[in-house]
Amino acid sequence: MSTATLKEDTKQKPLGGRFIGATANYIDERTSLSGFVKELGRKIFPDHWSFMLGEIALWAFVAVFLSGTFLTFFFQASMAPTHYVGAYAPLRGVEMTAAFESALRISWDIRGGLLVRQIHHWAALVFIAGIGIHMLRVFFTGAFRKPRELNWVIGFVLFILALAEGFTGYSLPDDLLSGNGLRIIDGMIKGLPLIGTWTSFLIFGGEFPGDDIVGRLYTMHILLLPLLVIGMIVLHLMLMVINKHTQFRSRTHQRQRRGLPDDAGLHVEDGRLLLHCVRRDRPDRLVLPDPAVLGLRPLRPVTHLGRYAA
Amino acid sequence: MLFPIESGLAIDIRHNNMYIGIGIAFALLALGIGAIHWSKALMSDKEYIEHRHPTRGKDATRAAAVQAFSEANEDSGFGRRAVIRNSLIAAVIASILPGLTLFRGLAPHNNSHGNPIAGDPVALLKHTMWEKGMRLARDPEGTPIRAADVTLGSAFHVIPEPLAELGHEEGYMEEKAKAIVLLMRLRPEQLIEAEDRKDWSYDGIVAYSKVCTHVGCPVALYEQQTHHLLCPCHQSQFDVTDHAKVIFGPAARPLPQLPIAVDDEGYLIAQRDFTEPVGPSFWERH
Repeated sequence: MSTATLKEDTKQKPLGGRFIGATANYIDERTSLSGFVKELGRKIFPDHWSFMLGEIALWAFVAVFLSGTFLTFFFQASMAPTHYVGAYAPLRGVEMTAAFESALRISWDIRGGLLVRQIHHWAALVFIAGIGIHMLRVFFTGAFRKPRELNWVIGFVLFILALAEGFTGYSLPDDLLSGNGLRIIDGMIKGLPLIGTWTSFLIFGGEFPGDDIVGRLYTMHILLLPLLVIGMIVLHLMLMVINKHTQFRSRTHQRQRRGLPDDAGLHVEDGRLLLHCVRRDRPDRLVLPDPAVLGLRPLRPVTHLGRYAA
Repeated sequence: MLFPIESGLAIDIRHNNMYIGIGIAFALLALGIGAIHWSKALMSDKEYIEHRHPTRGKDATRAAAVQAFSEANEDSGFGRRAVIRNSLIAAVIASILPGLTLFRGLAPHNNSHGNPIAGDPVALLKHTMWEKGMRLARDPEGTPIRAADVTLGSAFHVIPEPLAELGHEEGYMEEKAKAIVLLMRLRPEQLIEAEDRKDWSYDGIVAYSKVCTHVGCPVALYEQQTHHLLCPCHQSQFDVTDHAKVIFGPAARPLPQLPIAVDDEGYLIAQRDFTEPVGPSFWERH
């Protein structure tokens, strides 16, 4: 090692010891990452709970994504007829589609399967509810105005995509609810002027219900729609960083934003949101979770609903 | 192994899911409490101020961007060579169009699966499998129904007798989705019947399509005392005493009636197929 390098090392005195310093140096020399950290590392985050609503939606999406990935390891997106032979006695030997059979298998025969299905369903509900409340906050505080109109539109597209994810997911287990939900969509498509009949025919691969729809919706549900959602979230967050958060009206704060630095993405503020709820609301006003939260009662009991039988 | 589920007992499944769930919930709660406590106890609560800058680029930056754009335009001749440029744009658009024809493959063509009308959605939607003399049978067993079995006030979920023999590959679900019928017996004097439909019922027994004319849900809820049929999806109600006309809700048309009769052995049979397409409206319906 040359004297010049030694000199540099002693001069820099990296934070957090030799290893972290060396790692940061390795990365920065190859990515210029220090510039991003300088700009974003102490990015100011407003100290008001309503700015966390969008983040609730974001983290709900992360939960949906992780639990959904687990489910894909076991779900069979096929409408081929098969017979269930798993643990749930009342449906053993009954003819059903492979999709419903695998939904049953996930619920009854896979370790923690029902729990993950329930997490997926609940997180999806929180995702959509979070988007809805976040949109209300943005709307009623006027945060959608210039220069944030585009981000409002992107957010609205995200809301529609989330609903599309919800619908396609609802249709996958091929239980009674799936079948009736699809039948309603089929009826709505058939009602389209001029193109309705053929559109329905093309989507379902022939007459309702056909053998194709679950597989096709699965591609939408786990590939196309999530790609669009992730792309839109990236755009949404980029525009938020560019335009910065809004600020509640005040005489002195017109040209400033106040808040606490978010410390390189360590969002302890998320925890503070929970604290706010507990501190400000009387305990008796807290809504108790549905027993389904604990897995004591399933949210979508495919077992009790049974397969779709027209 | 922790929480085994190999035995296949319902209680094992419940415990398995519940303990894993409680474990995850406890871990996440502990993390949350830790983060909150850290922020409250160790971090400063100091407010920082950050100055806003307009999102619009500085004039110099914008001028440089315009400069870059015009230089690129100059280099490529994109603005000058209008004919070549427009033919390029047209070619890119045209290259997409052949791809659209691939999507015809989403739906079956004529004669697939040996069905002569398989490639014609309109023909398919206008017919069900009901035929003259076909017996009305219980859903899903497929056992035929005698007129005498249908006691006053009762309701039956009905399929065509041969449907029960159809396999999945032979279009069981597709045929069933169109052919399902609800059968009810009222007192004959309660029925209001149009002249041309006088012989469509048998001794107070009437059969109506179970597919809602709104968007196709099964109109499966029969109110015995009021003789109303209720669709659970969007609350359309149909009056069974009066040609299943719509008395509430979004449905646009009465439920189609299946003309029925009784054969020599006392079983209920269809006189013919429905006289109009069942289910929701579609463009080519009339």
